[in-house]
Order: sequence, then structure tokens, then C-alpha cells
Amino acid sequence: MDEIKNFRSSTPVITRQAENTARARLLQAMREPAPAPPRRRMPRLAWRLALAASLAAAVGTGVALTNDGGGQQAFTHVASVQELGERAARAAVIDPSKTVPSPGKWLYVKETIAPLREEPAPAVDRDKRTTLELWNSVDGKQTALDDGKGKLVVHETGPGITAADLGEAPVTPERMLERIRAAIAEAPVPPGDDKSEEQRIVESISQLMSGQSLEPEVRAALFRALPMIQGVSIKQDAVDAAGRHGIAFAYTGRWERFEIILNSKDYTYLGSYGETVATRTYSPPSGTREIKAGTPVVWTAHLESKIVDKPGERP
Amino acid sequence: MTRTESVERAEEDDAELIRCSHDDPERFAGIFDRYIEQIHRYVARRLGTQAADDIAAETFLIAFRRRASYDLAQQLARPWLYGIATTLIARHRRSEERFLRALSRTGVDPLPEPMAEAVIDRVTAQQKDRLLAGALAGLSQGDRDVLLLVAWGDLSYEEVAEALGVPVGTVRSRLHRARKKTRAALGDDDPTRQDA
Repeated sequence: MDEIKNFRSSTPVITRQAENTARARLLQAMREPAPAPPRRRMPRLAWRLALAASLAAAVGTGVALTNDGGGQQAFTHVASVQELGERAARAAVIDPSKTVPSPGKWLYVKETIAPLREEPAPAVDRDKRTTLELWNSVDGKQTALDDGKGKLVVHETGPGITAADLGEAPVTPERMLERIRAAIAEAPVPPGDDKSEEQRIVESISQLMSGQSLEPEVRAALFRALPMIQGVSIKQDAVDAAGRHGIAFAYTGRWERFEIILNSKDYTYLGSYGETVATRTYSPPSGTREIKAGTPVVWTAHLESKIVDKPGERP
Repeated sequence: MTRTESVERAEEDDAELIRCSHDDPERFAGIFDRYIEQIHRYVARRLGTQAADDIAAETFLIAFRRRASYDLAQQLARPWLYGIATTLIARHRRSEERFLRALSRTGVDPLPEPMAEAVIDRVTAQQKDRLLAGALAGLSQGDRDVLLLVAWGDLSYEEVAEALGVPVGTVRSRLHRARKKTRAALGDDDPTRQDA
């Protein structure tokens, strides 16, 4: 069975373009005004026969399918990225579990992620998972993680934005963006990395949300800031690395798409997903290789976070 | 919240989403977003990405059109969608078998564009792929459907039965036959062994 499972296992995932085309066809079918279809429930066998008949009729005449929309369009769920930002912000402020911890404590964070397929290529392996545990100091200045040999290594946090900095008044969406933008401008850019500033901001917000102990007001301001970033839209159904479905802020840039996935009921942070949206050639030291559009480059799921007394301590 | 809890909770919503889409068609987009990737990939593995672009899109159009007759007792729409996709694939049986025979004969898979990372693996696995392709081409459509829905679609026997509208016993016997034939073609005593 393994040999069959491996056979053609390198088949690429659907390209963004093909997915968009398919979605557009479906949306068109949905929006086409049509007489309401009968709601009668057919017995199982009957609908199978009906399905077989409809397939025979439908394939090849794709347009015929579009006239069964079944009524007017309606938006019952979160309609816009602004609304998502607002709803998530309100939920963040009232979330009782978000108490502000005292200084000197650490935030234990457990995530599951799709690991890189083969360094230095940026593609991650959709079919594998690695569990990642780390400890962030509540001031946001230090991160500790296991070096793989059971030894805990503490280092300074990367992008230079700390939970404490963000918590200083005024805590507004504009101010959040300003601070993150300033921190990004100072951070060194890895060679060959040409992400847009917007993407860096969105990724930084994702990192802050998954790994830092943020005050409720800061979290709310970040949610309200996301729709203000150019290229950020809403994705109604996104899946994190643990298979959980949620609603997402999705940034689409020239090369990559990046999603911050939230629980669609309480808007807590679930995880992130990123993939390339254009095919491009990439030159690691060992030679040139092509990364196709639609290649996943990051996939995470936030499993647990809890305040603990010191790095290395698990809840 | 633990991982399993939320996965189950999220997946329980398919039937609910389809029910809501009776009155609010746009809700059906949730089904599309959940399953387009896996349905596309499954079709692409059988017929290539180009055909898959079309067939996957078609699958969701047909599903949308038939949503009023979806059995709401089935919480997951996966088997239903794989069933529709499989019916559409069946119309391309000749192409599928032609591709498999070509691979078996020449060692070159006519299905386009493997991911760059996998090219080396594919070269080393070529002999095995050729034998396997020959074996798959020789299976009946029904046996091949069952084998690939289990191996590639990760469907349970019950879900395959649901997808194809056949009894579970039929799924078991088809799978048994398909495995026996592929095993024989590989000339391998232990078909679960993986290449290094």
C-alpha cells in the first residue's frame, strides 16, 4: 500500500489561478438568480440515479449547471475584512482568559508546524508535522527553546518588537502599525528575501499573536490594524496545521500569500498558512531551482500557551 | 482546546453548512474552501493537473447543484465529493489507462509537472513506478477506484462505500482483488516495504 501511496505523490497542489477560476465558476452559479429548487428529500438510490443522469447532461455543457442557484444571495457571516477586524478586536477585549501576567514570568507556547522539505528551499512538507515548544519572556524580549539535545538556549527576540513596547499608550491601530513598521525597518533582511513591507508587518503581527503575552487592548488594536494594511482581505475558510477550520486575514502580495487563521466563533488565534502565488526561480548556494506557484511555505497551528515561572517549565 | 476536539467540531459542520446553503447559496463556498485542494490533488494524481483543474471545478458545481438532495445525516461531505469526482474521472478512463500504460512502457510519466523537489525520488523509484503503473492500468475501473480512494483519498471502507454507492462488502472484495494484482505485478513478497 505504501508503494501505491508514494506513486505520483509529487503531484503539485492546485494553483492559485485554477482555484480562483473554479471558485469564480461556483460563485457565478450561486449568484445566478434561479427558481427555487424543490426541497424534497429523495431516497438515496434515487438521488444517485438523478446524479448520474445530471452528470451525463452536465459534463460538456458546464453553463447548464449555473442555473440552479436556489434564491437570492445573502451574507450571514462576516462580510468584510473590516468587520472581521472589528469582531475579533471586541472578542479580544472581553476574553477573560487574557489576564496580564506579572513581569519576570514566561509564556510557554506549543505549536505544531509543517517542517521544511529540504533546506534551503522554502517549501514545507504538507504531510509531516513537527511539534515546537518555546518560552517567551512576558516582556517580549527573550525567547528560549530546546536546542534539540535537551539543552535550553535563551536568546534575544528577533524583530525587536516587544509586548511591553506595544502596550505603551496610545494603544491605537495606527500606533501599532507605526511601531511595527519602525521595528521592521531596523531589522536586517536576510539575503534573497524580498518580501514586501506589508507582508513583513502581517507576519510580525502573526508572530506577536502566537508567541507573545499581549494585553487585551494591544491584541484588539492589532486586529483593527490588519484591515488597514494594503493587500489584506478576508478568507472565509482557512485550515491550520492541526486541520482546524477558521476564518482568516489573508495578505496577498506579488509572490506570496499569508494567512492569519482565527477561530471563527471566538476569534482566538489558531495558526498561520503561507504559500507562493507565482512561480519563480530561486538560487540557493547549491544551484538554481524553481519554486512553483501554490507551494506551501509556512503552516502552523497554535496548540497551547500558558504562563509559567521559568523557561523550560511546562504547564 | 485540544486538537482532536476542534477537528471534530470543525468537520461536523459540513452537513450544517450544506443545510444553510439551501437558503443561503453562498454558504456552499465553505465546502469548496474545505475540499477543493484535496479533490483537485486526487484527480490530478489520476489524470494530470490540467484535467484536474476542470474536473475539480465541475465537481463542486455539480455538488452545489445537487446540494438539496445531500443526505444531511452524513456529517462529512468528503465521501460525497469524492464520489462525484470519481464519476467524472470515469469518463476519462481511456486517458487514465493510456497514461499509465505509457509510464509503464517508457518510464516517463506523461502527467505533467512533478514538484522540483521530487524529481530525484522519481528517478530512483522509476522501475517500481513502471510496474505499478502497468498493474493499475490492468485493474477494472471499479477496483482501481476503490484502491485509489483508499490509498490517495484516505477514505475509510465505509466512506468509499458511501462515495461509490456500493456495499462495504463490495469495497473489501474489490480492494482485496486490487491489492493482490498490484502485489503480483510488483513481484514483491512484502508490498508494505518502502524503498530507502
